[in-house]
Amino acid sequence: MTAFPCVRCKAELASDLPPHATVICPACRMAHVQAADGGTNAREEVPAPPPSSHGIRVGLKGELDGVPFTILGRTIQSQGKNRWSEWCLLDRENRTHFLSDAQGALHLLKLRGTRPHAPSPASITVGTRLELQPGEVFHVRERGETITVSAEGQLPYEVVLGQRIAFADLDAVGGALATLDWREGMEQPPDLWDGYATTPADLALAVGKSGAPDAFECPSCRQVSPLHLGAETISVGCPKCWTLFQRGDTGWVSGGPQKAGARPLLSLGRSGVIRGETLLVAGVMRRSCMVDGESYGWTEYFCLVKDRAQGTPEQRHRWLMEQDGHWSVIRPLGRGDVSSAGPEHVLFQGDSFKEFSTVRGITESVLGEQPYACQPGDAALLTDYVKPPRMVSAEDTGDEVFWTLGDYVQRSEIAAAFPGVELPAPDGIAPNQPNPARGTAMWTLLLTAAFWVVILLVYFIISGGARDAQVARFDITPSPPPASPEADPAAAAGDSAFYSEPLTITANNRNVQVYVSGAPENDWESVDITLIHEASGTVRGTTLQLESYRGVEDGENWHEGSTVDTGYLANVPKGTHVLRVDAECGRKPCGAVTVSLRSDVPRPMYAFLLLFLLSLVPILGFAYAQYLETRRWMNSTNTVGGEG
Amino acid sequence: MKSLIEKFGKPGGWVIAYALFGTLMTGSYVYAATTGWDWGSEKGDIPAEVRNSQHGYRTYSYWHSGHHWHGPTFLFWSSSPYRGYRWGK
Repeated sequence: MTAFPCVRCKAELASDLPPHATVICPACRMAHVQAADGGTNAREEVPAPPPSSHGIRVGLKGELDGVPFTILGRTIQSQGKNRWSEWCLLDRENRTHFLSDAQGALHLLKLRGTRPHAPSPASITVGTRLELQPGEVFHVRERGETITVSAEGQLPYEVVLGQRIAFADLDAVGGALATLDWREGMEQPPDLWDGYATTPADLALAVGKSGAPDAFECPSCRQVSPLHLGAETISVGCPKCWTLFQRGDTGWVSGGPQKAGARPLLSLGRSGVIRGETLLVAGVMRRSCMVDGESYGWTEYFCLVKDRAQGTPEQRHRWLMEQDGHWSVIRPLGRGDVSSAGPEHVLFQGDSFKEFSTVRGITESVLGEQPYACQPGDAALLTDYVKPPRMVSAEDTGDEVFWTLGDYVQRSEIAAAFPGVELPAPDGIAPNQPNPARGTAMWTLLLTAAFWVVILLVYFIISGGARDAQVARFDITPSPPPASPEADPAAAAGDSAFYSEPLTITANNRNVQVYVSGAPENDWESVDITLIHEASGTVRGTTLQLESYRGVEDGENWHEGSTVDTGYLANVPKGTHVLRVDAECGRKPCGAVTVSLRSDVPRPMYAFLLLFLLSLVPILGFAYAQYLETRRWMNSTNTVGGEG
Repeated sequence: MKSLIEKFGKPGGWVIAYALFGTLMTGSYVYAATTGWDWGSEKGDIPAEVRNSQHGYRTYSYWHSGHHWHGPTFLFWSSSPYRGYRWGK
């Protein structure tokens, strides 16, 4: 450690870092750079950074991979409207690391080394593949330039306010992240930093409460609103006068008035439990896009996970998105969580998501808090990849790609979480909505399979045990019945129909197949079959029809009708039976018929009819599910469409 | 069952209705198959007085005076609960 007095105020300063490091006087804000010869050069006065959202401060001690470290200093970096902190950590083994604190997210960055073959920052394109050296492959997530706007403590390099530093944030295959940093200038090869998301707890940092104010007083209308995000709040839309403000170096800067719109369904400050997390609505953003000349709007409710005071945005930030009455809960994804899986597909947690739409989303209005700079008119390219009920989305601002994961939430869940809110009924089918008919179709398919098993089992057992035995066969010439016994004395003695000799049927309560054949010529013949059980007097009967017509028309022979017919007598008891056959026809006398009886005959027709009938239900169910799927993909901007 | 619910969602009203319908139909088939029931078969009883008469079940007036047979009775349902014999007067 080197000790020296402040050049300006003579306050006692100390440096734990090697030469060329910057030490900023906490009293007068003067920056000092240590020379290689041990001397100290004063540079410029550096503004003081605002309080940290996580309560991290210079001098705080922690532990990284079992090695104790101390936080020496930090800079505030600015990229347009967005600002973030970069904390410098020095561990007991004299290694420096950086802790990036951007939009509430902490990422620890460790130096991997210089990459002399890295392309120039200008030639790097967001979303493309980048191979820095053999086997070291990344995808470019963000590219930009940052300047240092304020600093405190000790930094291992010379801090120059306003100096532009190029960087490229990279996603590694497998989910790791990295950053290329041209801090030493564009001419010098960049440093590659490995990084990962972390929390104060992971680093054993005993953070206190954030020094940020807990309320926002609208400079325009004096309405006071709570600041749930504290110092993380970058944009605030006043819920009373709709004026938008951005956090500036010295306070809130007006972003101009917004056109007042309809009140959001979920009011600011409300909280509800969704998927086991208590979400507090901190901000509301309305966005829209144009597709084929038509405007489509949706609402994004920015929520904080109430039960988690600290953690990464992945742990603490959620959005509830509502469009056409459909809801999704959305969480930010860590850098590197999503990888490309061929054209129109991305891979997340081993699942392939298919591109559904790519639109240019425009911010319409902002109410309440947002953890980043935003204002009406902001545009971003929004790409949704779906695998219902989940949806991976990429928001590409040109300089940065921000990935999120959406999970479809049923309207009933939202209603239960936020009672009393009048929710619109869902319209159409949402991109990530689980196909409501597919589950039903699958259930009916399972049930049908079970019914099939039972029906086929019963059929094969019954038909396998069927005797299918010939009982009798008769050639009969029917005599027509007399008009009355009085007209025909013979009739008084008894019925004139054909009666067989007693027949023995051995199968009990099984069917009897009746087969009748005849030869009516240009006539019909109706044959009544009755089987009389002698012991009980029970009868079973059926009527069979024969008909045959033929002729010549326009020199062509034609024939219609059938000279055979089959019927079944049900549930015939075993024992002795008498067959009664009576016939009627168009022209008397009726022609001869042959009647054949078989007992206990297998009947596959009913089984197959029932199998067919039951199968119709899942078939129709899947057809309806496919119809809904077609309707879903009709809303896609991806012309290929179809399920991934 | 729990994994099925996780996979396909909780079965809704349509699924339950189909389960009941399918069970009824399958049960009916099992009943029909095991009892030899068949469509189109009529059933009846010759009254004792006819059977005990001189010509028994061959009595002319019984077959030609219109008796009442049941159509194909299935469980508690009959397709023609009161059907006059076709040749009866």
